Amino acid sequence: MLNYIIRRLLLMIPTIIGITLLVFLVMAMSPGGLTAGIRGQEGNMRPDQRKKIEEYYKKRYGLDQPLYRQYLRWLNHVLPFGAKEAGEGFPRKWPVGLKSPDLGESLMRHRPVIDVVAEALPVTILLNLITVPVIYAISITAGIYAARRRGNSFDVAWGTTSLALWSIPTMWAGVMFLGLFANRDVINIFPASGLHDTLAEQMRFLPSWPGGVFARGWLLDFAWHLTLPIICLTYGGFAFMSKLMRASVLENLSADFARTARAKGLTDRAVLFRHVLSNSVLPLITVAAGILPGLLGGSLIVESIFSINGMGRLMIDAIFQKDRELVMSEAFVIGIVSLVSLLVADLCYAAADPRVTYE
Amino acid sequence: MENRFGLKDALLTFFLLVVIILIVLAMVQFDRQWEQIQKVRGQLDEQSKELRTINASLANGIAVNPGAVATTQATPTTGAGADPFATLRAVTTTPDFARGDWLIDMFPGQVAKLTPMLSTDVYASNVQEQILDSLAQRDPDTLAWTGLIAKNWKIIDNSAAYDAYVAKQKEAGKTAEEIAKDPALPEAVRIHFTLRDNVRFSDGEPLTADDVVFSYDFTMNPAIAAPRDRAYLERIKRVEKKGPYDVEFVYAEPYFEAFNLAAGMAILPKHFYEKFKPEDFNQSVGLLLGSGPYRLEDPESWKPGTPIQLVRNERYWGLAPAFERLVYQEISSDKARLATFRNGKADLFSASPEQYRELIKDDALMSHVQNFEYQNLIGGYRYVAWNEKNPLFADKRVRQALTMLLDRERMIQQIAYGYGVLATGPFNPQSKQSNPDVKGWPFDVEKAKALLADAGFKLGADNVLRMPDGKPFEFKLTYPAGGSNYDQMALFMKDAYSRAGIVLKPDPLEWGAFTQRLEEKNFEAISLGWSAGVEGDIYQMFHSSQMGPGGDDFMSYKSEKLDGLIDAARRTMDEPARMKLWQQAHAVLHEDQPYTFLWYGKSLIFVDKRVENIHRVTLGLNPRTEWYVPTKAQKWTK
Repeated sequence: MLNYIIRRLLLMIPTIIGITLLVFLVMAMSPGGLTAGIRGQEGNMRPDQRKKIEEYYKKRYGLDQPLYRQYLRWLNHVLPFGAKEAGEGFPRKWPVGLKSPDLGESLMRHRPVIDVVAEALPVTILLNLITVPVIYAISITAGIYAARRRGNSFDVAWGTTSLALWSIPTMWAGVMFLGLFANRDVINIFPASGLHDTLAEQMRFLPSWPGGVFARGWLLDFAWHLTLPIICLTYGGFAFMSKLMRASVLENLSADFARTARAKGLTDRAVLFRHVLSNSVLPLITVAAGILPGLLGGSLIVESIFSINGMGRLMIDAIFQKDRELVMSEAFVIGIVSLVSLLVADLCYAAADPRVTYE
Repeated sequence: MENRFGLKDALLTFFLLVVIILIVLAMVQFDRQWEQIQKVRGQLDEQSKELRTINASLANGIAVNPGAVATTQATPTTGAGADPFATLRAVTTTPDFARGDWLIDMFPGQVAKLTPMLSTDVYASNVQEQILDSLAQRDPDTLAWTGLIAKNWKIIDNSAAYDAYVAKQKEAGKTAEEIAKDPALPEAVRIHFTLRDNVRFSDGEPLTADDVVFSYDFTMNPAIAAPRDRAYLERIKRVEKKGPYDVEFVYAEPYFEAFNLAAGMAILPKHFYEKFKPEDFNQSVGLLLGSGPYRLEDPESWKPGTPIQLVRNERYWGLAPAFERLVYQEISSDKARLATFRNGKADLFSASPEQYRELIKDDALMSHVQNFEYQNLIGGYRYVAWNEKNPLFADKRVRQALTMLLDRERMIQQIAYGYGVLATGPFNPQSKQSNPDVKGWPFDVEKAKALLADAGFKLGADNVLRMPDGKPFEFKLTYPAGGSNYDQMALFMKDAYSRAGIVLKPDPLEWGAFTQRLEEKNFEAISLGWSAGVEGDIYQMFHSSQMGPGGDDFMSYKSEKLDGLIDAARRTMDEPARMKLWQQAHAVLHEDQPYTFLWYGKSLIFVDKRVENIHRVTLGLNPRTEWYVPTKAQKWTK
């Protein structure tokens, strides 16, 4: 097992280099090259002034060097070891050794990538921390219920509804929600954009009744702003997950151990919750491992419609502006997280099922 | 059974409950503290308001003595301008004028940095404009400069002596570089500003000549990541302190924008910015403190993604504007922006022509908003540039014909939905630079055909126009893909040209690729827009020296007459004389048609109805500092 893990970890190195090299080359070879973004920002400036700015940034970000050097320079920056300035890291006196990894500076925002990501990531993680449990809770409940009453009206109705929901594009649903529930001329019960009210700064934290009038408070205001985005993020997930759950419960209900349990006199309820359920959740856990990298990626569509500054929009903006450092760093981090979670999923198989070994 | 609820479980549950209760208690406690802070804040606000009234009465006390005022006005100056607050003062006397309420604006993008000089987006500069003050500003109606921080100024124009010296040295056979290095070369322009002595930054520190000198030196420090501002201010040779409230800007060469550069430079507080190391300053995002009418509540701690709310600067030396707060919301989605405005959660909405046309018919919306359509003096124009390296477009008769084949008035109707004004040249028709005698080329297909025949083009058997050497008149129109209605425009032109036997192929390109093509001058015809300043400088696009790599004369247009006019205008400090030169340049461009000038777009803006006193001025709409909300209609402050 240890051998296997080490082999997989070693294999990750060429994979990560491959991923980042590919992203780097695609960006470098796109029309206009890497300087196009910088050039595109300058608009009406005079050519001589524009040239000076271009030169300044080219030099600052090393864009004037040959491509292979630019890539190696970037790789050296993000690794925790490699060439470094003497006097930093460990060993202090050597020009090579351990050092603190650095994701670099965003070419368009002129700020450290790590700061830019640190602003966008919490929002995305929060959205996902609410979305994923909601999807799981609803689909597991519905899946079990449908499996127990297989073929009855609930099973059919839920199956059809969830498939229908799955087919509604988020983009359309989001805009419809805005038009219907955040519109003074139709129904105005939800906010149209952002995560906080304009007056949120002045609000108390908890709901209160100053002078008999209900005041939402900061916490409730936040939840209220999250409602529509969360609905958009969740409804599509029901179909897939609940079908998976339903199939898995059905399979286990007709398995030998379930029949034995019933034969020894347990009630249907006891069989389902004590024996079948734990076995049926296994496939959902393996699916969860694949979701992890998506947690960091964020959802571009929902973020754009509801004006939430999360990872999805950050990534798309970075790509459109050809912000090499930001795109590379995100590809690097998401690449590592994906590879690690795949490895964890494989190890979970072995842990959950004694028949799977990696010897 | 092993799953029974046991003692351990009971203890655990109890423990969990205790923790939850403690957390709730802590939250309530924080809430109580929050209320206390609010109270303290309110008291502080009141105190600063009191301070303002005291300040105002102090100022009035001085004004009682008319002799004092008379002496300051009597100082001989070449400029000081009128009272910059005359219009606002007049507004404050209207019966329903009231201070208070907030103005909420929306940005379609995210502000990345608010720190001056480091910020690159237009949204940040909108915010900075409210916080940073400059020495003088243009009156939005008369466009004359009026003093803000500067009480008055003197322009010492020594360009005649400079020109004479340069001419003499040139005769002696010296190169331009040698002359520039010559220590005996007289300095061409000096501008002396006398500052008001009652200006304070929003933290209470007085603004002096040191701050003005610092603002220039700080920008020019190569360790500061401000290449953009440096590129602008480079024309200024140095800024000298001449007294506690006197500064002088020195220019090596005569330059027509010399005064604009000095007067428009934002004055930064030395005591505030000085304390940051250049590296720390370069990494900062929200260091913003100034002497303008508004301020950030905390000048150091703003971060991208947090709300941008400016509060009125109660220490402002001038007349306080009406709004207590300016709030900027960042809403990227078009639909959400409109929804927010419709629901009354924002006060301003700027619409695209297509949206505007629909929205003014929307009675539910129009019942609570007012709309403005106007041509902005600093709004830009759309054009098509013809690459003169291409034999098709080398002849000016062909370019004139290509303009005359287009019914540009109809283009404005169909593509800009009527919200545009025909462009006859690179200068805004309202500006003094524009030549009133230049009338745009008419839409005249017959005359255009005649011009093309003159130039040697003949219609072939396949109804395609052919050059004298038999090649068909066929070209690609390159334009940015996905841009607003560029596709529509290309199709309109394709249709119009096909009637004269000219084949146009639309060639939309992604922005990165588009800029590369411009750089390489690898195109046949290209469409784009320029935005304009109050006084536009056409050097970068039409002077033949800009033909080289990186220049904006990407159509390789060369006219010696125009070069001479542009050079002369840029060296002329005297405004009326300079305007005459610009007008002549306009006529040359009209005749040569290096561009087919299309139209100037109009600004289309909706504002909440409760906001009063918004009206049209030369520059666009009157500044927001003059708007107000009557007490009854105020909605954000009780």
